[in-house]
Amino acid sequence: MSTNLTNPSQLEEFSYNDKVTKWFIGATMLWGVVALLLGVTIAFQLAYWKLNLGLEWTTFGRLRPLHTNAAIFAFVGNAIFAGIYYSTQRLCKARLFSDFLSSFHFWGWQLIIVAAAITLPLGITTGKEYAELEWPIDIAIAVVWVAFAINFMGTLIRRRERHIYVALWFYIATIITVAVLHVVNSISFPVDLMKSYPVYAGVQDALVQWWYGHNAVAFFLTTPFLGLMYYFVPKAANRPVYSYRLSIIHFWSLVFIYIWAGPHHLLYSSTPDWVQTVGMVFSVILWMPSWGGMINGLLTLRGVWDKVRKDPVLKFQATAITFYGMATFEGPLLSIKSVNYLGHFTDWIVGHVHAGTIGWNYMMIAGILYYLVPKLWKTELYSLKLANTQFWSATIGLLLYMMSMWVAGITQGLMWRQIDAGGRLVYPNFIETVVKIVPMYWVRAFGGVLVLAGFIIMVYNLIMTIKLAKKDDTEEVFAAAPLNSSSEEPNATAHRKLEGLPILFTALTALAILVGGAVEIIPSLLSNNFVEKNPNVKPYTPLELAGRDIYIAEGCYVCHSQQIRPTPEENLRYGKPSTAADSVYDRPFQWGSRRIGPDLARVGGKYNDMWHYRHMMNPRDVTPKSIMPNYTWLFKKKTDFASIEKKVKVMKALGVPYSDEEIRRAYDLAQNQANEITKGLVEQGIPSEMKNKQIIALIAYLQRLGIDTADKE
Amino acid sequence: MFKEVMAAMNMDILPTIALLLFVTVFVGVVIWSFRKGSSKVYENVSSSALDDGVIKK
Repeated sequence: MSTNLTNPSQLEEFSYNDKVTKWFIGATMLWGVVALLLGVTIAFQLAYWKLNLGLEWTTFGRLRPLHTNAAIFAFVGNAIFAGIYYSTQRLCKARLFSDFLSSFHFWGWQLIIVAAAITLPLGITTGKEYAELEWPIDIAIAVVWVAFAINFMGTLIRRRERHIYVALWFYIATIITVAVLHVVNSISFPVDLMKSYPVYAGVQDALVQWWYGHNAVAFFLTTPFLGLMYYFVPKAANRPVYSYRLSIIHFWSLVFIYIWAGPHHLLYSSTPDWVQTVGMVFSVILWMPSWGGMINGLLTLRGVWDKVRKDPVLKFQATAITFYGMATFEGPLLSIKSVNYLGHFTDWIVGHVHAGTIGWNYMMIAGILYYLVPKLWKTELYSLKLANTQFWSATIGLLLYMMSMWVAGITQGLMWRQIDAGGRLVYPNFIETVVKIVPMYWVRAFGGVLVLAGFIIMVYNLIMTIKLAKKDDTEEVFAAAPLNSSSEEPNATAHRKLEGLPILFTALTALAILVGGAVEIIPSLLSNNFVEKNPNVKPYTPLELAGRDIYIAEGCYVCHSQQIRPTPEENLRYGKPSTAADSVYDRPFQWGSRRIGPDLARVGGKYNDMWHYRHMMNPRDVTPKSIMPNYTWLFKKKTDFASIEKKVKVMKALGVPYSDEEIRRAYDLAQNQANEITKGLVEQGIPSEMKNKQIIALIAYLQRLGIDTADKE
Repeated sequence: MFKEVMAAMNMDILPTIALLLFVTVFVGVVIWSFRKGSSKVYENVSSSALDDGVIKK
């Protein structure tokens, strides 16, 4: 570089596109408030069930997917784009490849977020966690992502800096992997514009979904932020990264290992043991690169610790890296089968993910925004005091959140498996284990309020900073030597050349992430003995299929699992453990990830139809102290009988063995079954016009769950 | 053919293969990063990341 400066005649002039960065910063602030507000709302709903205000669009089952999507893809997503676009231009000494693609990327992404905010409360969802958006939006995501990729790679190719700095490696890994994950997981067969069924079923769908779900955390919430860490921490501390060599080892190990760890979401499930073992082993190994990265980030601050006390940028960054270390310690811990045995399906997991998203992402974003806003608007931060207030508010809020969730999760997990000397469950009623942890839900909601309040303070602080800045839209002109004139390095090693070749480097990264996915998923798609056949398991009837879609639309899977683990307590509480054959016709699978209410894998036949009817009308009628909201609209909205034939047809096309006769008579079969169920209910005083309402279809589905393979005595 | 091989395969060996694969990659990367002359390259690269380009007034 110094050689370049000695020959000023060779310098090329250029400017950076910081406008798009500013837009993404604005979007980050806006969607951050929305995502956190949604989180606080649903936190209070768990503490007090009436807070959906009796409306279907604001129930927990529909808002939780909106909260997670808003937090990950809107809030964190926009922050990633702001940070990547800012740093990539400077690391490449080049303007973004295309101003048009930059604008297209920005507006396209905002449009997708708005589409999500409209469809999810309406119950338009695929029912796959963190991938709930329906197929037209999925296609839009793919298109915008490709625009982002072209814009990024184009900048890389036009760079004036020979070496591709490690932050850019992490961005490359993010771009490829998110594209692969999104496309593979979203492949589905449309029924109509707003409904589709995935091509994978049951165990296969579970493996693909959690390969996606886990790596959404890895390659959307982690790798881009590690790239941002490797750029913004050295910039803020004004000293190079502690060890560049460590960052190389960090990168390759992290990218290689992360992709294998997905099955740790499926421990003690009906997936094959070898898949669970791979997931667990690689999750534990993951500890090593994660801590390598954490140590590298923290040690970059060597010698500037006095600044960490005063400078909000460094303060938030140091906190973020510390929480990253904590969350990546907890993750592998929870992936150990015997720990997972206690923690899975409890609030411990919820606490863990928030330690990551609030502790690592939110804190890092705050640090980056406090760095970028004054710099881009060429001014000073409005108030250091307000930044400090946010720091304490957010940190204390997060600690309250995590601790309440540890207490709630471990308490409930222990209560579920408490067995007395006689071999009976000590807490046979699930609701006992819920009532016990409701106080913790209040603590968590209060913690959430503090995190939100801190964020609003930051937004105010940044807006004031921008307002008081001198209006100056002129782009600064920079200069650097073109790539071909910079020193040729005749003695460069092969490795050095590789780092300079973006396309080959990208291909190698793609290879590293594809190996893990391929080994775990391809056998499940090809092998015949992956799922033990069970001739007793039959496809859903047309009405049950319609009921299942209502179950998915209402987001029942958000609170109820459908997977009985092969353990004595689960057997006592729910019945025979789930097998792979049980969910062979489930598109999508509905195993769930959290039991706010009990498992439903074998709820069929456990209660009578009237029980379900009363339960959906007012859960407290049959389960005193239940925290589930009333689903009164199910008694007013009609079942969509007209589309049932089409649904059965699509299922058949996907390989479900319906006969032509069943498809042709799908409408009548559904009507007959609805009549049958309604007849039984009318005898107990229910009006007969209920027969075409959603509640009947839902009861049909619930009563079917697990009975094909239940013990016949 | 591929499908038949997969169907007949004993999957229990996959975790072991995966682990060996990772160890190979990891040891490879570590050795690679310590190659001759790397320290100087890394020093240049990590300090050039702090540079935004020369500002022309």
